[in-house]
Amino acid sequence: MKKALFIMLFAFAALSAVMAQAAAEEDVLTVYSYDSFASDWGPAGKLIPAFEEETGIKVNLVSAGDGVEMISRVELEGEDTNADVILGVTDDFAYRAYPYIESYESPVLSDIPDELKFDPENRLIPFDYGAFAFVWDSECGLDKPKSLSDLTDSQYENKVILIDPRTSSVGLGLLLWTYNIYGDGEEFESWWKAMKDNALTIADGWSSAYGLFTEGEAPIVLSYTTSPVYHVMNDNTTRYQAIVFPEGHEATIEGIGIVKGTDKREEAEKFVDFILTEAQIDIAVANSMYPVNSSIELPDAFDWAPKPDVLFRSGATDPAKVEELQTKWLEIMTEIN
Amino acid sequence: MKRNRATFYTLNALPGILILVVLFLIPLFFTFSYAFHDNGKALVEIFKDEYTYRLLVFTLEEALLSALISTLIAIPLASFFSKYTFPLRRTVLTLSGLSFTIPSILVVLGFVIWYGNNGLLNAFLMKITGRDYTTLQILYSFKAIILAHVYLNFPIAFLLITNAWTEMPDTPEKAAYTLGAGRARTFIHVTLPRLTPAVLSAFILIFLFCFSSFSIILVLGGNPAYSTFETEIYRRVNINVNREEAAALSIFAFFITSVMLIITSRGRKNQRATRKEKTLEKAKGKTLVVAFLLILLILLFILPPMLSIIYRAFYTKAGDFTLRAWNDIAKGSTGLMSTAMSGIINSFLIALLSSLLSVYFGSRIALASAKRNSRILPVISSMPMATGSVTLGLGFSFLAATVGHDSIYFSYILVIAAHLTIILPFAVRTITPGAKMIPDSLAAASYTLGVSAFRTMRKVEKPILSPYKRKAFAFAFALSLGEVNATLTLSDGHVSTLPILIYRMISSYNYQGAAALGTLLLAEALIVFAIGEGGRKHAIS
Repeated sequence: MKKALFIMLFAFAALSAVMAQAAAEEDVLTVYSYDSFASDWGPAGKLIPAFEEETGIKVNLVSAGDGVEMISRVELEGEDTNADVILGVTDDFAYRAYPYIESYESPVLSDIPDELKFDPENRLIPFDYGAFAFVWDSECGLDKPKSLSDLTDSQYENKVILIDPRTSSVGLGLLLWTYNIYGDGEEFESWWKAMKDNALTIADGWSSAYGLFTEGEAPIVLSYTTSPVYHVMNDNTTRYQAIVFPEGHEATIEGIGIVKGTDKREEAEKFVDFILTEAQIDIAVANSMYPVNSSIELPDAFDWAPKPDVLFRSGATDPAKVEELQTKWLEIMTEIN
Repeated sequence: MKRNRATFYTLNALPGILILVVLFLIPLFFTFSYAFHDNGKALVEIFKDEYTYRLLVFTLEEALLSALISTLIAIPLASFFSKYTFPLRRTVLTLSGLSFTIPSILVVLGFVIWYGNNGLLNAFLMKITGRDYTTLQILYSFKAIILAHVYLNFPIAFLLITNAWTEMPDTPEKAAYTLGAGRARTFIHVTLPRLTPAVLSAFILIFLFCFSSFSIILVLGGNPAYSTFETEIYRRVNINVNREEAAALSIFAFFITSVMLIITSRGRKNQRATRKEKTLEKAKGKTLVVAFLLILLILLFILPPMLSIIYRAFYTKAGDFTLRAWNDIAKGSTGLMSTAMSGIINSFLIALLSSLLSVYFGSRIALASAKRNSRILPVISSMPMATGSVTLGLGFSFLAATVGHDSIYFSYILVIAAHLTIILPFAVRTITPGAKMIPDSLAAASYTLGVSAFRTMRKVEKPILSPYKRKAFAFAFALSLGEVNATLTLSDGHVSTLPILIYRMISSYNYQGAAALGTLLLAEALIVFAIGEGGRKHAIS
């Protein structure tokens, strides 16, 4: 008993020492973001110190889980929220963030292509975007699929790794993608029916799907057009390539917004401008996304991230419609042939 | 006087119960209250929807099957391990607790690297048979789900049952043999009834775990028809953002798991036990050969997926040796080494504190429930297990939003408290069979000698519990080490533990780096287990 108490006291002491180095400060700009952005691995590790040094504004970056959890938290906190800025709301969940954020006519807006601005009132300003795509192993010996409907060919039986639209935003992206191309009628149904045979598995999220892909379980995986960039930059290989389909691709856009009623409006504006200018390259590389600012020059590795000619922006799809599509999808996929 | 003693045990358990109520029940009730918005419209719809019942059937099927198979495999093994002593016995028991520490994403990866169609096992088989196609198609089927669940959970049954059986004196069995009863009859009529609390405990723990599993089911099952409640709850929380329906589904699932808990919590009290421990026989000759065969079998089952993760930390998919993942950790441009170091330290300290606390509170709750023959205490303390991680996460995020704090110090305390809530059920469940074996006569003798209830608990009852507490500590430590969601939600991302770093590595495409961090995690758990076993008798008392 005494020993246990001793160990506990010791551990508490050690913990306090660890914690001491990270004491919270008074006058700071509080930014909510999703976890992979806020981590030292993510863009924040480099960007926040740079911003603090340049402007003298201290930033408290709060990682509020994933994108959805972040909005949920703002909703739960309501007017009492500590957040001055929220970063990383995707266009499909934007409607939930709107009640809590205010417009900002940033001078940088003119550098952002109009088709990316999903909020006409500029409450959420896009800062990066990506397009869902199938990535394939070009050395797998199969023919390269040239269109979305090519994937239903029987030579791809058990060769494709898909992601569940009920548990993953990437999976949902594919569902809306097929909806945009085929509608919700027969074509939609027959595409998914064929994919029942061609899908090796339908993973719960992007992480496990892509892990299966890199382990060589199947040569084709649902991911982003930008995925090959990592392999070029870090593995020095162009073996894994994103395929651009002529039918078009589903896009996902991430936005940043200033919280309504913040008393740090000026600082918040500076932060938003910083994210839209100097931070663009670092964010693009770390997130594997495209920058929105058209004046940005990307590293060469991004040559392997082909930009689709046609982009669908389903962010505005009615939540009820999304649910209807999911139900339909589930019926198709669980129906016994 | 007698009543006073019972009150003493209850009071003793109170702090632990209080923590559960504040940290778990209150946020949970707030979460559940969403289901009753709009006159409980969501709840009615869930009850009317036929799909809910389809989910229920599948979820029950996979959870019951996983729990049944795990316990059935564990019983014969436990019977051997609780009878004989032989070299490596403790090592095997320790190793089997390791699987808890690995975050589910790495379990999936480990499985794929080992059992995958393009995995090491198949590569090996192809080499032997000279065939150039996948010989063993294991993954992406219902049996893969069960295999993975048994892999993850069989150690629970193995450890709990072996532990209980070892502490159980074999005098009744000897008496039965003397009276001419056969082995089978003795086992069914003499051994099994006394073993039941431990077997049931293991069964229900595994059942609850598998009931709320979903990543493994979706990825390894390979078919959306294999969906559990948790999949749907996750969808309602994270994709469709319908808190009312999520809460309604959670209540439905919670109701079912609670019923299971109540059914299996029958207070069966054993008066026959004595303090005398069974002495293990030394395995010789034929038994020694059997022992080694069993060890080989167990190791062949539990080690490969873990070794696969370690293998991947050093070798690329093509089979080339590389230290790149380790270099990434050691000297990345943003000082990853310091991040990894603080991850190791954070993980260790949080796991150590929360598991010590869980054993401290858990043993008190276990004693109180055994003394009072209470059915409600084990149920209350198991509730966090019955809730499922998504619902728990929702509750914790509610808590985080309500507390709204700025201090990192407070973050740590919240995280430790949350870990405590999550692992406390384990501690209680592990210790309860031990507490039930303490005969009342022992305490009565002590009271007759004029010893107070407090002293009796400390000097007489606690020492009997200590082997159970050791196991509970190991479980709790391993579980806390692998925890991700609560840590993230409650610390605003300011507390980085190893599993969190693993997820971050993966989200930046670095699977090999994740495997390297996973290796560190396993190493850390192994070292702590080894130290715990080294200190045997009095390490945690």
